[in-house]
Amino acid sequence: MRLQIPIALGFLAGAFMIVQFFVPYYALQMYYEQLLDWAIIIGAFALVLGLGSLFRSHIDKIRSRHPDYIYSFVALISFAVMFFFGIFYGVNPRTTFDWIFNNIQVPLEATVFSLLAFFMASAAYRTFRARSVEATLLLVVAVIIMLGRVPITDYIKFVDIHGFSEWLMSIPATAAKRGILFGVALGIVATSLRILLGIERSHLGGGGGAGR
Amino acid sequence: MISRLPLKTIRRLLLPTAALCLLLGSARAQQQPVEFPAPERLAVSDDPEDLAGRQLVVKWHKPAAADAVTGYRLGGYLVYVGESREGAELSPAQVVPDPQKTETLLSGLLPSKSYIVQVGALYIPEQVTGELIDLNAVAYLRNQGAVEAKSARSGPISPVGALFDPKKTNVLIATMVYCAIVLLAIYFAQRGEMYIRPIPGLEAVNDAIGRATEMGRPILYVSGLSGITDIATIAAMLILGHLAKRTAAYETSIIVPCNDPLVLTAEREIVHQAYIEAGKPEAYEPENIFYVTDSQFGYAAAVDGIMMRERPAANFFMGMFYAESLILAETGNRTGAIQIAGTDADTQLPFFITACDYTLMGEELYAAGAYLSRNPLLVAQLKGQDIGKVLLAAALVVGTALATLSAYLGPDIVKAFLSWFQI
Amino acid sequence: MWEKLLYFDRRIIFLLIGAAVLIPFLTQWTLPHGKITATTQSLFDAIEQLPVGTPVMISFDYGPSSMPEVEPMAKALAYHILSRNLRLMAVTLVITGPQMADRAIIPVAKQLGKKYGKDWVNLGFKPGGAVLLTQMGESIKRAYPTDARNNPTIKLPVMTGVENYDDIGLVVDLASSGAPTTWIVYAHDPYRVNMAAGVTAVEAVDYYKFLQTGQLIGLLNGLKGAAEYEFLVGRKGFGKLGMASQSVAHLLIIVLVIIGNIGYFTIERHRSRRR
Repeated sequence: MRLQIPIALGFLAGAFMIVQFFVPYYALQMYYEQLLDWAIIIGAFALVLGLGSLFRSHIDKIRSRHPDYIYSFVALISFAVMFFFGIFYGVNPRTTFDWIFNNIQVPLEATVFSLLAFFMASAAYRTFRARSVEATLLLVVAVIIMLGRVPITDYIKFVDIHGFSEWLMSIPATAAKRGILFGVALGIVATSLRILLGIERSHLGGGGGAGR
Repeated sequence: MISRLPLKTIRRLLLPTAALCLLLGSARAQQQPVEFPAPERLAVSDDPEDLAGRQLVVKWHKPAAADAVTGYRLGGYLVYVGESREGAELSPAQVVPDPQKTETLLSGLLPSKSYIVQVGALYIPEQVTGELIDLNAVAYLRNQGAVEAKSARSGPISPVGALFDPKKTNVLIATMVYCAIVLLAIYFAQRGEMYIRPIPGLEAVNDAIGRATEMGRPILYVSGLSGITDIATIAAMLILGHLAKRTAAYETSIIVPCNDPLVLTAEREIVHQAYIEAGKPEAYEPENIFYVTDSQFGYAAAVDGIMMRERPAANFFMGMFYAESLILAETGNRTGAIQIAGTDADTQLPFFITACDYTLMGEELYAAGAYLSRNPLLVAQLKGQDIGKVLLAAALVVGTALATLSAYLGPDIVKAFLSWFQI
Repeated sequence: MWEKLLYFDRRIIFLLIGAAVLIPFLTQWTLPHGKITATTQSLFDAIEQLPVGTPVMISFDYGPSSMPEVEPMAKALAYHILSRNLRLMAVTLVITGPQMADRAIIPVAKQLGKKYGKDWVNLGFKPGGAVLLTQMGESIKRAYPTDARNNPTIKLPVMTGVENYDDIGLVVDLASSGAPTTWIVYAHDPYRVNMAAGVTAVEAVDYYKFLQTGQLIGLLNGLKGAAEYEFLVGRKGFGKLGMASQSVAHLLIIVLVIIGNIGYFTIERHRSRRR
């Protein structure tokens, strides 16, 4: 029963979602929207669980004097400050919440994102080696794409690097991506099918398959 | 008697009386009834485009003499609707502000009920500058002297809903054929062993766990940055289940930072179940599966921090990733961990391929659960996927050939074939 | 020597990249704009062809992290829309979107003397994603009874005559993730609203397929797209300034890759000689 009931529920919910896709009748659409509302409500409650987990892990670190417990203080105080200003003074423009968001959150997130530029350069230096034909091809294409993003190459008269890089992006790259996408789409349907039919049960503790 | 009154007094009496008479005369002239013609030939029908059964098409003719009403202009129309039952009143449902427009859609109705519809033409005094913008404007315009002339009622009529969307026939057939192929493959799988192409990334899973066990270091598992509604996240959770069973057997710690509370809840349950199945429930550490944040780069920063502090021996990045992929993988590379990634986010594949030891590309992510479990039923699903892929490739080749031919022979030849693939 | 060069401390690369980005930025050095990409031009032309007063919707589906790359596009687009006396409506599918919209539009509106509520509106964030887009197909005012500042949308002059996508001239989704696909699936395909997108360079390759099928009529590709759009609308912005940094960084990476390969082949040759 511990396995059967979740599988049956999963099957019913999944079957309903498939049927509603093909049946436009309002009653089904109404239940569909209701189910989506449920999902949002469950998500909101799950956020409480998430916050509980966040607090517990940080409080545990502080209690046990974990080597980096000072950062747990920073996390909890930051949360309390944002919560206080968001709840009591609102989140509209020109509020304290908005000020903190624009002057702390925005630069912090932008900083982490900007690490990408540094990591990309070091990863390119480390791995872009013309070891084989395929690797050489990858290297040459990468260089052409990068040059295509540099406006001054537009002034080179004898070769249209910008046009060639656009062509690479819109024809071969898109074709390759479509190929990957087809495989992914088929994989998604098959995975969904095996979960709906209860063939895959590892997430329910069913031994990684239906077994026989 | 009048003759006895002084001339001054007579003037005083006569002038106001004459003025009063003039006023009364003009007032009587104004009271003459002005004809306000109503909309004509009202027709209500079901909207054939609306398959949900929520809409009716309302059509009428502009009143013929609308432009001849002196002192007023036709400001637009009010559409009234009410249920067709005893004592039910019609209430204004929609405003048509353009007097030249004589058709509208009534939405928000129910196919189980029948309705009566009426259309009113609203005449606004010429000196009033307001416009019939929406229902809120009606009361204001009435206060300013606007007059309404209503058409005859039409109905009862019910909107008709459909039980199948014919535009999705191709999707239904394709889905049914593909599902049948997968199910048949699973059915025939019970008859014998099936070959499965070795996937190096998954072959390396055992090495990664073994290495972590030898070094006494944990394993880090990141199940992507999208929510539980993303099938890539579900595939990542299935892989986590198989992986957790093996780490439980070796009693190696597994750290799972989550960026979605629903994923956290499900993953805790999955890992717990895996430890129970492996016969090591006491080794399960719920505090190792925790929520961090739903902020993309906040999460990336936190996971980078975990990698630098905890120094996991193996990092797994499975599921949907965005721009943070290289930030995670490059930091992991720096710590010297074995890194295995798997994603169907094609834009992130180059980053993982560059910085990780093994990468599962696209559909391999969905095949991983079957590969790791080696369960014949799950492996058979891969066979079904392959057959589906062959069919899809065949359709592509035929479609491309026909589309190319149509460029020379005219579009009609292949129109029917190609239109079948349109949604 | 080559061995050292091949395996030198990656922090040196970080320093070089930092200098390549910072120096052009601090010296305010700019590069000529180069050729205008066809996808940028087509978006510009689409907005040029809209009659005065047509509502244009921008979906601000990016967060603070990708703001440096996407915000220049938002500012140039807002400038183009408002200077052409079109109505601008900001929506978003992500929680940080309303702040992004205000940051981008308020300075542009001030510059052009455009008023909130009359010329532009920020409808704010509503959860639901695909469901929200479907709701807007039925009624935008029902999907957004109030704007981000809690004004009832039925009372805003900018919303007059705006019922659903039929009344929107163009939707431009500015995003750093897969949001344009959601817009295409749930707004363009069922309701046939014209759509364009502006995305980070790393995501751009995902959207070329939609240009080929006509589901997108234009695409701004990363900082280069932003710089091109700034040039087309004649407004100086961060796009052009950022392009100099990006170009130098790209050239530096190419030089590093070349050095790495020379080192690699030199070492390989030495090794094969020893053998």
